[in-house]
Amino acid sequence: MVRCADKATSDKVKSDAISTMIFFDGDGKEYYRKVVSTLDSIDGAYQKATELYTRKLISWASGEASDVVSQARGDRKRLVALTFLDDKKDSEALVSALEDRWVAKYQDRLVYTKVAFDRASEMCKKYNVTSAPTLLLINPSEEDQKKSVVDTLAAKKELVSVHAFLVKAFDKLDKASKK
Amino acid sequence: MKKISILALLALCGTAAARDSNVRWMKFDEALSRASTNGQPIAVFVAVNPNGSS
Repeated sequence: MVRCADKATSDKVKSDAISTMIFFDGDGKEYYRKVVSTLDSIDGAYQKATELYTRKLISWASGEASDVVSQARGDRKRLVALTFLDDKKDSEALVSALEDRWVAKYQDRLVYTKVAFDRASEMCKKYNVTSAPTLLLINPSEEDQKKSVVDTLAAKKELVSVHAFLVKAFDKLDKASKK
Repeated sequence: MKKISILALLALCGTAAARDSNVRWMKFDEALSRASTNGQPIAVFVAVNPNGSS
């Protein structure tokens, strides 16, 4: 909670009116503001902000992972998230991190597909996946399979690492698409 | 303005504290720094006019 009571902070939060509540996400990006005047309106603003910044369940693409990658070809703004999972806790933790409110905004830019981890499977061999969980970000527009792998996240990671991983991947993609 | 500031303090601490026991007032930069480690949202209550007067 921040009480903006000086001009420097007011400039930083781009305040345009007194008695305003401004909400920022974990990246410092504003996502909601509301002028408040009563106790109820403050509580309402807080509730709305909480609704807007919330955990979001992953909508998994249906079908075989290789088909999902093929179908996404031509989509230059999205990546395919090949998620190799097993039934252990580390896999659950990765999915939970990907659904966290901090990284949920990237879901619009990702096509998630779930792959049951099996070291002997074609998919694991194809992408050289040796453990679960592993998250591979694939650029579906890239036809060369080796070049199509934007980045790999293997093993259990803390939320902050998952966030940094996604930020880095999309920075890379956005820079490449501007060229 | 003082009235709304007090109301805000009560409301935020009263309602938010129930959901988040770590609620406390802090500087914006400190809040940004904390948010960048755990993704926690930042709620700012503006108690001054844009020109700095209250």
